[in-house]
Amino acid sequence: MSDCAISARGLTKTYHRGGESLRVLDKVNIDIKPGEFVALTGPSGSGKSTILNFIGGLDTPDEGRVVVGDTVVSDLSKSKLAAWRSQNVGFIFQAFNLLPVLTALENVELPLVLQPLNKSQRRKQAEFALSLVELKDRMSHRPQELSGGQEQRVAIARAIVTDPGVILADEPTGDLDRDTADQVLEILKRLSKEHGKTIIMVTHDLAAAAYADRVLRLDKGRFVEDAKK
Amino acid sequence: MSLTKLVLRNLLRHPIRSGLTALGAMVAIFLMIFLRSIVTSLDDTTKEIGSDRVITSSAVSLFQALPESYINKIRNMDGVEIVSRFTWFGGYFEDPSNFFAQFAVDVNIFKNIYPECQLKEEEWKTWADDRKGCIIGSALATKYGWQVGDKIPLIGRIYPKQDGAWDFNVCGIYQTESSIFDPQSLYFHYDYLKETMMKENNQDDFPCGLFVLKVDESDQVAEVCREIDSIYDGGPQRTLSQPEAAFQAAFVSMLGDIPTFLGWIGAAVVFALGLSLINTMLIASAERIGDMGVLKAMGFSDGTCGSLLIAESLALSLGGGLLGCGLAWVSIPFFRKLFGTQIPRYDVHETTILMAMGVGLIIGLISGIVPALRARRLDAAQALRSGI
Repeated sequence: MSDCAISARGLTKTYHRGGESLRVLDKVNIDIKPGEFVALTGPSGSGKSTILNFIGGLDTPDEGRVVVGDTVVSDLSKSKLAAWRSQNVGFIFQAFNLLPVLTALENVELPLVLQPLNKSQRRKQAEFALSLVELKDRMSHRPQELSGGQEQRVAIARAIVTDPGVILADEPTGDLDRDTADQVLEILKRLSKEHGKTIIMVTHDLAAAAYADRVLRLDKGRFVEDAKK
Repeated sequence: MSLTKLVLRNLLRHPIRSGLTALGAMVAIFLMIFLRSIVTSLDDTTKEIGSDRVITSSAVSLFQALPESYINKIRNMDGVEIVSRFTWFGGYFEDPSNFFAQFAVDVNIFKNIYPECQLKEEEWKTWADDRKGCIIGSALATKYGWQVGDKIPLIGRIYPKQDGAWDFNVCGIYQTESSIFDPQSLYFHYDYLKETMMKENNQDDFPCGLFVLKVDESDQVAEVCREIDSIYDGGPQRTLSQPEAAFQAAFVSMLGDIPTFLGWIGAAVVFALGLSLINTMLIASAERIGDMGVLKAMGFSDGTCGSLLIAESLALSLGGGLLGCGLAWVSIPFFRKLFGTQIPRYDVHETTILMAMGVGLIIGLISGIVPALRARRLDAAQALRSGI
């Protein structure tokens, strides 16, 4: 077993559009330790989200290999990837992506439908996740009844409810004001420090990146900077 | 939280759209059941008719009368118990829109041929003794507020009277428990019709519409029919004798191939429902691209994501279908009243309900398949980037 939570080697991806080829990642290597909070920064199109998708098994590289924990994610079939994601990865998105027809509690409970838990266990676990983001008093509210910051906290609770080892956050503060963004980033930092979650956060915001233990800067498909605190 | 709950909540995301689609399914399934029930009810009507009754009419046309003298030979044939003259009067009360069935019959014989017609013994006697007497069905009496002792003036269209209306005295109001015996008819003396028309037109004879026979034993029906028709094979007018059920079936078939016609209408209705449901589900799936991306990111399999849309489609189709079945069921009394004599046995069979729900199930599955396949094939990363 590796001492890295995430290890990727030679990640390469080329997109073909309208007869043109665009290489967004070019033989990228990355190692992230368990419990580390890493920020991926860089200009648009530099390949940040693509790396996140490879690690989360939402996309596959043309070349290279991604290992998360003991699993070679890049070798898994599509159906095995889905099952693996349900146990090991939590996603946080810029636009929160809560289902508008469900309450905060139901949104958080949704990933648990795939777990071997009964109704009361699912509810208890979802309530606990909401309490970690201090939103237990809003659990019966629909997303449209919550502020942007509250919606993102619900999304964080949803990402951690299955107790995954890895949390992948794609511009989690992109739609939030500074104060609210700071609250969200504090929660992410706490999850890393107090709960041992490995967090990779894509961001354009240098202030957000400052919350991370380590900042990796990408440009034109390659890492150009690796700054540890 | 469960997947069922998620499906139901998604249906309520656009309640008006879902409601209208389910309403469309309800109307389509109801129409399908209704049209099918007309066919099965007509079939039932002919099956329930007395098996010991024979109708002898003209072989040329139902509208061609037979010489009245035929009754003498028929009456004396082996196997024939009793025979009544039977003629369609075709009049109306006050206004042509007040139309109901009226027949001229041999009163005492009619009583024995149609035990379904229930009348008090004294009313049978009063009717038999009153040349202008008639009996009316309970539903007809209720409709026009007629009572025993009332006079009913009818205008004859086939048999017009020079001084205006034919007057009939109501001698009794019959009840019937049989669904095939019309409670909205009027029966009167054949001789009143015959004698009046002969006098008015200075005729020496008066042809009869048809003869209704009761045979001794049900198994003699075919033989009696053959024998009657063979007697008159050489004229002066050929006859067509058939069991009453066959006669009714032939009468219905005069209206055309009803089952095929109604079947095509039903198929068109179902096709329209399918298109409407497919359209709704395609819109729903297009709106749900982002949600599908999130579900896949959470670990929901491609199959589960597709199944959610099929379940939604089935819920709309079967939910609307169930309402349609319910509507078809509760509207039975209404249609029985509406159809009256045309389809006295109107009913909705359990098999028709099952067939309709089967169609609803198939339409729900078909309508959900295309959106489900799209959801299955949807790339999670692209779906999340779509921003929908």
